[in-house]
Formats: sequence, structure tokens, C-alpha cells
Amino acid sequence: MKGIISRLVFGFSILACLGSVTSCSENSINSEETTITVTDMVDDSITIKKNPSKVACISRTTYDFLVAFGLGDKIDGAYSGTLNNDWVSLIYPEAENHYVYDYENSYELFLTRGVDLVLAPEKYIADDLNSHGIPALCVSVYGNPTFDNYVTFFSELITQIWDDSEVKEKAELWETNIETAITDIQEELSKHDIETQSIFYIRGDKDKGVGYTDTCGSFTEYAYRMLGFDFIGADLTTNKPSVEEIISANPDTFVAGGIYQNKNIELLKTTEPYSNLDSVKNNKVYSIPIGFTAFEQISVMSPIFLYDQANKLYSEYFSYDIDTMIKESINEYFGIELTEIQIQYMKQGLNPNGESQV
Amino acid sequence: MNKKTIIVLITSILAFAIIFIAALLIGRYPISIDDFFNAVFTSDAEYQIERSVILNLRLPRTIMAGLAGIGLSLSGLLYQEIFQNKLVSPDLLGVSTGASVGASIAIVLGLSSIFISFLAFIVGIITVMLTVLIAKLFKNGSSTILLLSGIIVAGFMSSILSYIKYLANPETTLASITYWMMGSFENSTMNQIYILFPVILISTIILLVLSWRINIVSLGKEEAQTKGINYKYYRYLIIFIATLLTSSVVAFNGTISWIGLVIPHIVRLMVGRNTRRTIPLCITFGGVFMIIVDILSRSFTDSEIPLSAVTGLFGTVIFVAILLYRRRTFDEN
Repeated sequence: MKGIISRLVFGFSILACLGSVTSCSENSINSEETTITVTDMVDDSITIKKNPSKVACISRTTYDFLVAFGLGDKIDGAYSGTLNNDWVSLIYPEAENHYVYDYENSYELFLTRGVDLVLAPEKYIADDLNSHGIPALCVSVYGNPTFDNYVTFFSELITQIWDDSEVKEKAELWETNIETAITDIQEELSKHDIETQSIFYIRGDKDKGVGYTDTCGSFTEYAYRMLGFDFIGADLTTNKPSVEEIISANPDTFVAGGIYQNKNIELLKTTEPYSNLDSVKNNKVYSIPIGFTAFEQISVMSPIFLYDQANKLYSEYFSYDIDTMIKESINEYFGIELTEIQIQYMKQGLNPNGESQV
Repeated sequence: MNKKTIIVLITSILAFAIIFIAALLIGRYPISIDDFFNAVFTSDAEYQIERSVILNLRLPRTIMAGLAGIGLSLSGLLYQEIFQNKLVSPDLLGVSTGASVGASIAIVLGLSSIFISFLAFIVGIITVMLTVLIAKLFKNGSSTILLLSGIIVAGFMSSILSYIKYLANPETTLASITYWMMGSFENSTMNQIYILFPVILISTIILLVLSWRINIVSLGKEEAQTKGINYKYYRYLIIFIATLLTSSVVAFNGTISWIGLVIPHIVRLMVGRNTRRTIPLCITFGGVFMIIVDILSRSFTDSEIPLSAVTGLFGTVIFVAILLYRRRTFDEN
């Protein structure tokens, strides 16, 4: 009797082991088919679900790319700063169905909402989420040490994550467009003997006045360097230089972006000692358009940003038809036909009704 | 005043004047002495930027720094004398935490800088009134009860502040609240000085007039009553003036730590406890200290270092030095 029982136990054990081995190998086959390991902007390799269908776009540079590449229905929500823009609701009305996320959110919120990928703006946020079992990739607005190697990073990442020919087509189109924009402008500039001038970028996405800028590693630094300028922020150790620091740098040109740009330009022109600078006196202060995102942020509108700034900063050499470019680009990526007046408002950093966004 | 006090006072007044002029000369924008004189004493258009930097940027903040130093040093001295506790600082009764709550509410609501100052001042005063009210509930006039009440109310305000910070937008208002709480003279204007200057001036005159009474009140209730002084009245009057000084300085510049603790100690070390001597010296020492802190905060980096970071660094070192000096003199005696 004892022998029979021992044999039965042994037999069941063997069966159980075989069963688990079989199920493991089945799982691994499924896993290989449904997951993908990608490298994010901070060189972390993360295994995520392939073709995720509920993405949280906390990083502000991610939302417009996904929508423009036809992945809007894969988005669960986006950062409030991204969605709180009148142009977003005009260009992409479905945005109102997207959840409004904070900059930092609880793990349970993502789990409750069934999010299968978080595009996080900072490494610590991505690390934190990954350590709690929530797949997250860091898609920062800054490159390290510069943005040079990251211009097409997110576009390429999208094509790795979503296996879709239409997405690939749109991504390739955008990558070609931005490379063409840089080449076109640089080729024209190389024909002229131009003395390098300094430029100070006033970052107006927050109400921090004239003394708020971007430093080395930002897309703006990369863009203005490509345009042949000495970007003052690149040499700063902080993005909040003091008034004296800016005056001491004595920029040849100012460019102002973001929703507070018109307020900042007014401040620059009316407040001493800024108003005493030659660049301000000579009206070498230019605005940057705002659309689905601020144009100076890496986005599907980045090629047009470069053309627009080339027109403004080198008006003697360039006269690109920015209005047509904006119209066609918005139509191509978002399927929306903007009116002429809306395009003018966009170029002036206003909302679709011609009002300030703040 | 004895001879030593007069010498120290005259020296510190001279130091005040020198540091004040140095503050107008030193900064991230380089200005030579020649350019300084041309900018200030001529109307030459060539020096327009220098003139603007000196008159629009450096002058208001240097005056503001001087006033803040005077206000916080005096209020620190008053609190230390009234509570007979040398470790007391101006935010003892919750005024700084209260002011921070007021400023944070204004920042979260997106109000302008003048309303930020206004709300900071009002909530700072209300917080101290709440502290006094709670102390009165115990029907015990002792300083200890008032101190404990201050700790309770400051703790309460601190939790409100945490909640406001939690509600604040992490990318915009939270950073502003945090920066405000670290103190700065960056946004100082002459209009703010026109408001703060009379408050500091009138308070200082009253304190100079009352200085001998402050001496008696600081000895305690029994001592004051035997001298025929209305202890309760003067105690609350002095607390009111100290609170007014702190809240008005904090309202315009944010929280500035350590100065109210350190300066009275340095002054007492030099001239003793008599407030007839310590008050004038707190004015000059406080002003000089704060102007030096301002020069350091704006001259070494691209952006401005928050004041509390600089005062904290210097304050702790100076305080340790004072304690070591006191221990040495105690050992020698």
C-alpha cells in the first residue's frame, strides 16, 4: 500500500512539473510576441507591452506626436499643462475625452485606469513607476549633453512600439521634414558671410518674467544653434538668470515663446534696464507661434518653427510661406482646416479667438 | 551710552554707509567706479544702462535689504527680551508661517505681487492674534504659555501650508511658493520701500523711546510692577511692534531665517543686555549683515541664491562662533 501511494505521489509530481514547464514555455512564447524592450531617453532598457492601447502622456513632448501619427485612440490621458491649451480642443476635439493627469500621479491612479504605458517627463518618475510594476519610459524635453541626438528620438520610438505602417509613414515624413528644414536653412546661410550673433530665449510657458530661459540640452538651444546663433542659455548654469546677468550678456536678439510671450515682450520693451538694450531699442525681439504645442518645443510643428524663425532672424535671406506651411501641416497631421485668421493668431501666440491664453 | 557703545555705533554706521555704496557697485553687471560716478552724477546717455542698473535694480534692493535687516534684527531682539529666552527668533509666534500661508494662497490664486504681500502681512498678523487668543484661553499670563501657543499655531499653519503646496501646480505655483519661502530681494521696488520705510522708521522711533521700559519689562512681571510699569500693556505693545516689523518685512521679501536670532546675540556680546544700547546697534548691524547677504546672493551665480540659504550658512557659523566664545569667557571666569 505504502509503495502504491509513493508511486502515485511521484507520478503526480512529475505531471505537475511537466504542466508548469509547458505553461511557462507557452507564456514565454506569448510574452515574446506581445512585449518589446525599448531604450528610453536616459538609456534605460524597459520591457513594455507592444502596441499599447492606454498610454498616459505625462511628458509634454509626446501627446501631439501620438495624435499626429494617428495614435490618438491609444491615449488614455495627458498632462494638464498639455491639455489646457485652446488650440488642442480646436485641432483635436477628441482631447476632451482624455483624462487630465497631474505632473506626478499615484500608482493606483494608473493601475485603476488600466494604463499600459506611461510616457514620463523625468527619469525619477519613470524609475519610480517601473519599480512599482507600471511600465514607464522617460521622454524628456532635454537631451544629454545636448539635444542633437534626440531630435528624432521619440518619432523613432513610436515606430518601435506601434507596429503600424501608417504610423511609420507619418513618422518618416516628419523625420524627412525636419532634416530638410535644417539642411535648407543651413545651405542658404552658408552662402552668406554672417557674423555669429547672440540670442536670448524667453521661456514663457510659465509666468516667470523675462529671466526664464532654457539651457544647454534643450531643443531651443539646438534649434538656434542650427540657425547660426550663439544661444545665451547654453552658457548659463541655471534657467533663471538674474536681470543683471541678462543685461551683462547684452543679447543681440530676443525671442519669446509660450503663452506669456506677449506679456514678456511688453515687459521687455517697457521695463528698464531691458528697454535700454540696443536689441530692444532696435526692435530685435521676435515671437514664436503657439499651436497644439508651443512651436519651440520638439513637436510635429518643429520644421515650421525652424522656417518661421529663419524668416524672422534673417529676413534678408528667407521668405518661407509660413501660413501655407501651417495650414498644410495641421491638415496633414490632424485633418483640420484652419482659417487664415486662426493662422495669424497662432503666429502671434494667441488663442484661436485672438485672445491671450492667460 | 558708554564710550565703547559709542565707538561701536559710529564704526557700524560707517560700515553701513560703505557697504551700502559697495552694494550699488557690485553685481553681475560690471560697473567701474568711473562709470558709477558718470552714471549717477551726470545725465550722459552713454551710461544709460549703468544708471538703470544702479537706480532701478540695485538701489531698491539695497534699501530693502537694509530695512529687512533692521526690522528682523529688532524684532528678534524684542522677542528674546520679552520672552527672556535667547533662543527665540522673530517667527516664534507663528508670524512667518502665517505670512507664508497668506502668500501661498495669493500665489495659488494667481494674484499680483502687491496682493501676495498684502495677504502675507494680514495672515501673519492674524496668526499672532490667534496665538495670543489661545494663550489667553489658559488664563495664565506666563511667557511659557504664549510660547507653547505659538508652537501650536505655527504647527497648525504649517499643516495648512503643506496642504496649499499639495494643491499647487507642481510646475508653476509650487515653485513660486517654495522660492517665496526662501526669501529674495529680487523683485524689490521703490513703491514697496515707500510702504515699508515708514513702518520700520516709526517702529524704531517708538522702540528707542521705550527702550528703558523694555529693559524693565524684560526683567519679568514682578520686577516691572515694583517699578510702576504696566507690565501687561507694555508686553503686548512690544509683541505688537515686533510682529508688525516681522510681518511687514516677510510680506515683501519672503521668509528670511537666522538674522533675527544671530544679530541680537552679536550685539549683546559687544555691549551687554541694555536695550538702550542694543537697539541702535541692532539697527546698524542688522542692516549691514543683510546688505552683505544680498550682495553675496546676487553676485556669484547666474541666478540669485535664495536669501535663507545664505543667511543659514552664515548664521549657523556665526552662532557656533558666539557659543564657543561664550563658553571660553565662561571658562575664564
